[in-house]
Amino acid sequence: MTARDALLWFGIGMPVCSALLVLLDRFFAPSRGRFVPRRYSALTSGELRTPNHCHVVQNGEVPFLSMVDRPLATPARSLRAIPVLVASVPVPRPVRNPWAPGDNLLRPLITGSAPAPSTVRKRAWMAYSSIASREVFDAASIERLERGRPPLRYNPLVSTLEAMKVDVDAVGRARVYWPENDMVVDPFALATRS
Amino acid sequence: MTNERPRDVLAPLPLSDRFRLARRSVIDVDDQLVRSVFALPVAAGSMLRVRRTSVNGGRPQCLRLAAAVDLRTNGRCARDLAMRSSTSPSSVDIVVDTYDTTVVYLWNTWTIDYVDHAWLGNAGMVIEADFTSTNPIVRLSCSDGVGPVSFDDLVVSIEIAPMSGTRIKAKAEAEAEADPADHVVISR
Repeated sequence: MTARDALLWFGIGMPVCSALLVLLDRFFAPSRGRFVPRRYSALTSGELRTPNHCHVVQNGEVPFLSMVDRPLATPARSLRAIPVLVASVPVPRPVRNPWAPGDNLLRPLITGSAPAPSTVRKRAWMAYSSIASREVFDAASIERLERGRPPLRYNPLVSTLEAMKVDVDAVGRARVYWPENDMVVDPFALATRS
Repeated sequence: MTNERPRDVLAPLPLSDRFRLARRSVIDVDDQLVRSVFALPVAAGSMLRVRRTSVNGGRPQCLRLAAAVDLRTNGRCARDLAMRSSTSPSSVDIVVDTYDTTVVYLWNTWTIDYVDHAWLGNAGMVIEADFTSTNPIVRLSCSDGVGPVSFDDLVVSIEIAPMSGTRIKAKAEAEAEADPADHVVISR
C-alpha cells in the first residue's frame, strides 16, 4: 500500500467513523445530552428561568399536572424548543437525595446527569398516581401508576390494549392523554372561550 | 352438570372489563345490547343533525365522531370531532363530506381533570335506531365510566338528513371547478 492509498483510506474512513459515532449518539444517546456546542455553553451554564410562553396549551385546555414550583436545575435538552433563554445563575450543585413525587420532573439524577426521557415519563406517572381520579382508574391502574407505568385500557376501535400517553415540556410540566385524543378537534372550543 | 351462562359469570365485572374479555364492541347486559362503539352508516350527500337531549353525571360529557372522510361543522373540518357538552350547543349539524356511503364511528367520553376518558369503568351505550323512516334517527343513551351503569349520563339523538339543494349544488359546482376530468359519467 502506497502512501497515497493510505491517505485515501484514511480520508474515507474517518468521516465514516465520525458519522457512525454521531448516529450512535443520536439514536442511543450515550452522552445523555452532556455535549453542548460552545456557542450555547453560555446560555446553558446557568439556570434557565421558566418563561410563561412555554406553557403548553392544546385544544384550549391547560395541563393539569404542573410542577414549576422548584427551579429547573439542568438545561433543557432541546435548545430549539425554548424561544427565550435567560442565563445568569450558575449551575446548582447536584442534589444528593433521589427524586420524589412533587419534585420537578426534569430534576437531575444523583450523579448530576440529566434524566433520560424514559425516567422522566416514569416520574410523571408516579407523580400522577397521587392525583389521578380514583373514580376513573381501578386499583390495578393505580398500582401501575405507582410503579411508574401508564394505565391500560381496551380500545374497541383497534381491538387491542393501549396505554395512556404523557408529554413533558421543557420546564417539566406534564400532560397526560389517551392516544385517541391526540388529534381530536373540538369545533366549538374557541368560540366558547372568546 | 349445569352450564352457567357467560353473562352470569361476568356480571360483577365493569363493562370495560367485559368488553375487553369479549374482545368485541357489543355485549349483552341484562338482555339488552350495550356497545362501546357504534358504526353509523351514512350515505353520500347526507348530514348529521345531532341533538343532545340530556346530560347528567355532574361532569362534562362528550360525543365523539370519527370517520375516514371529512366532517364539517361550525366552519371547522376534521375527521375526528368532539362535541363536548361544555362547549358545543345542544343542536349541531355536521356535514359528512363523502362521495360514497361511509361509516361514522360514535362513542361517548367524559372529562375529569382536563382529561377525556373513554372505555373505562362502566362506560357503554345503548342504541335505539329507526332506519325505516325517510330520515333515519339513532338515539344513543350513554353511560360514562364513573360509578354504576346509568345510561342517562348522555342522551343524544342523531338524524341522518339529506343535505339541502343549495348545499348539494354548491358542492357539485365546487367539484366541477376543482377538476372536471375526474368526474366520469357512467351510463348504462
